[in-house]
Amino acid sequence: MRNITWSQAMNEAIAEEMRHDETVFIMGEDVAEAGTPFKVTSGLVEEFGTQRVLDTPISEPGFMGMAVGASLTGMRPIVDLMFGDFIYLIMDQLANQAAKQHYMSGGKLTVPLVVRTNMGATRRSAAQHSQSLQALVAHIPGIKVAMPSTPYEVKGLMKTAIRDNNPVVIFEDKLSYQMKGPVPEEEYFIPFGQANVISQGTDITLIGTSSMVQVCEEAALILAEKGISAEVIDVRTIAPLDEHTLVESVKKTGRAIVVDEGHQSFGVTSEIVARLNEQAFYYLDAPLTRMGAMDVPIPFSPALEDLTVPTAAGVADKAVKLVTGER
Amino acid sequence: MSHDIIMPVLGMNQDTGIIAEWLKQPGEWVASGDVVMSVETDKAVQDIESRYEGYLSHVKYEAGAEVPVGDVIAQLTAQPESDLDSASPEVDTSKAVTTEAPVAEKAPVQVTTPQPSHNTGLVKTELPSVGGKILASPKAKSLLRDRGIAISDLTDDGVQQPIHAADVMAYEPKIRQKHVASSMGKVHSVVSPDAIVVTEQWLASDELSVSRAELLAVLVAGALRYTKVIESDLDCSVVIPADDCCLLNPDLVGLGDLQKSQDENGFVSLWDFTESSIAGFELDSDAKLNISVFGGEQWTVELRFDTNVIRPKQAIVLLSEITRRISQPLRQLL
Repeated sequence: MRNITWSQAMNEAIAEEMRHDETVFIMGEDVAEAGTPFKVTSGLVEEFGTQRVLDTPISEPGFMGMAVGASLTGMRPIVDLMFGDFIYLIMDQLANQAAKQHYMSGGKLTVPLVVRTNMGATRRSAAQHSQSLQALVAHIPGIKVAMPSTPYEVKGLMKTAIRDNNPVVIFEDKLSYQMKGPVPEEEYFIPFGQANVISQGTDITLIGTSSMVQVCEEAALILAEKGISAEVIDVRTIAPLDEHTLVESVKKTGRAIVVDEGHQSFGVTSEIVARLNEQAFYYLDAPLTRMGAMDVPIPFSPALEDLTVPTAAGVADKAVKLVTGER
Repeated sequence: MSHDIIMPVLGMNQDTGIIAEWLKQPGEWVASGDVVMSVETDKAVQDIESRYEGYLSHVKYEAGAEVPVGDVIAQLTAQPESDLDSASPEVDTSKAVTTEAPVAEKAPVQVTTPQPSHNTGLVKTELPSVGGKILASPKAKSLLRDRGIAISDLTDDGVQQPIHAADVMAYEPKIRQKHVASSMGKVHSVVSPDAIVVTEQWLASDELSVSRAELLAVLVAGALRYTKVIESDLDCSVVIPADDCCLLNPDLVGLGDLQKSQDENGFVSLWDFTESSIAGFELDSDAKLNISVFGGEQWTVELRFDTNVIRPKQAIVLLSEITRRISQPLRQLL
């Protein structure tokens, strides 16, 4: 199988769906000639023209509102939100309008729009361009939230998102755009709500989202050297969440660390831990453990920034303590 | 012809309204469009106009009453109330004053006495626990329950809390040992008497007359409790056969307040052979544990135990603890 970058995989997903369905279009800041700051949409404007690859003014609330209107009137817009941090600007359009229409119309209206945006720190982008706000969006009923961890996943999940008839927000880690990975030539879709068990283990379950999946995989390697068998699970979508796979794994291992790059408090990890606690309590042999970004604004200082997010060594340390029953 | 006056719905989430003021008196003529009363909700006070005309009659609530939405408050009748049937209902002041009465009638509060659970015939599958809550993971508790093991068996065996699943699995082979016929075990340790000698000198300078055997009894009792051979809330009596005395809870009372008795049935008997020529001693005594201390410049502490009372592993933990206390008596005494 060929190896391509994350950016190429995302680009292919958008291009394939625009060829497949002429109501699909993409809009956002610098998506046309500039191809986004991460060069994800390069080449699209040449193929599809400026009517379907729309550069917008710097007005997220404005173009998000346009997208909601377009999706209600027969189009399938993809909104390119340059930084996940700008979600605060589109919250009313997303949460009060897009997320509610299907429900409030008794199912008569659909809002087939996708917001593709990013998350993740350690890119020296300071506090206003480094946040991981997936928990904020996953909190809102009516929105699906995808968190791919590989080029294969971003393509498959993006294509599923575009075909979905209601709002989907897909978060990509900023550091992943140049990541290479195997992606099939032939068309494929990855369904929502199905976690991927990356490696089987017996002692502890490491559950990750987005780039934290790689952190969990590295931690599992460190643990293997210490004779600890870790099961690594990529949740792929946090809303809907594949509870069954996670619960069954934790029933088997009796222990889990949930890792997500959002701030730890009131976050994705807290939610997953709560559900595991409710459904696997009598199988637990150690406290279910969250690991997220520290509850601080992400610092610009590289030395400090690297301390704020979970690392493989940190996850492995924590896992050893849980498995050995630190008393 | 009469018309009911009901408590109107003034807000979307309104369940009740309070009659702020009656602006017409009972028996007074009300024309269509007249303000009859004002009603207070959690948002505002609003005047209520009548859509009909008639004499205000059968007023059920006084000003100040809180009335559920839709309830009839009064009626407008073609004739004044006084002219109507003399048996017509009067203003029910008890309802009007007790503003919550209409609501309480709808949802009567039932007072029930909780039944003692032992009457239900259900057997609770609570885990046996001695000496307060023993910490164990949910999985460990499930395993204990499945295997019918008491959680206290593990702690008695020296397993540290919180107990994990692995502790329960490792414990399994030991269950069978419990059914083995009793036998005597013996274990001994060697320790320097220096710290005890210093302590005795210090006690003497403090004019406390405590014999060496008594001092050792204090330390032994402390070790028994610390290693949970004896639960913290149970009595621990140490017999000193050579002195024909028994000390009750010597580790819990002060060195000056040791309680001596003639009781010969202690949990443990203690023989002090230090600075004597005796180098060995064995006896089938009634005590469950026997501790003998021999030697001069170097002491040998010997623990003889019934395997039905404590397991070998526990005996080793106990002897280690006694030895530690002999080498550092001040740790306990201070």
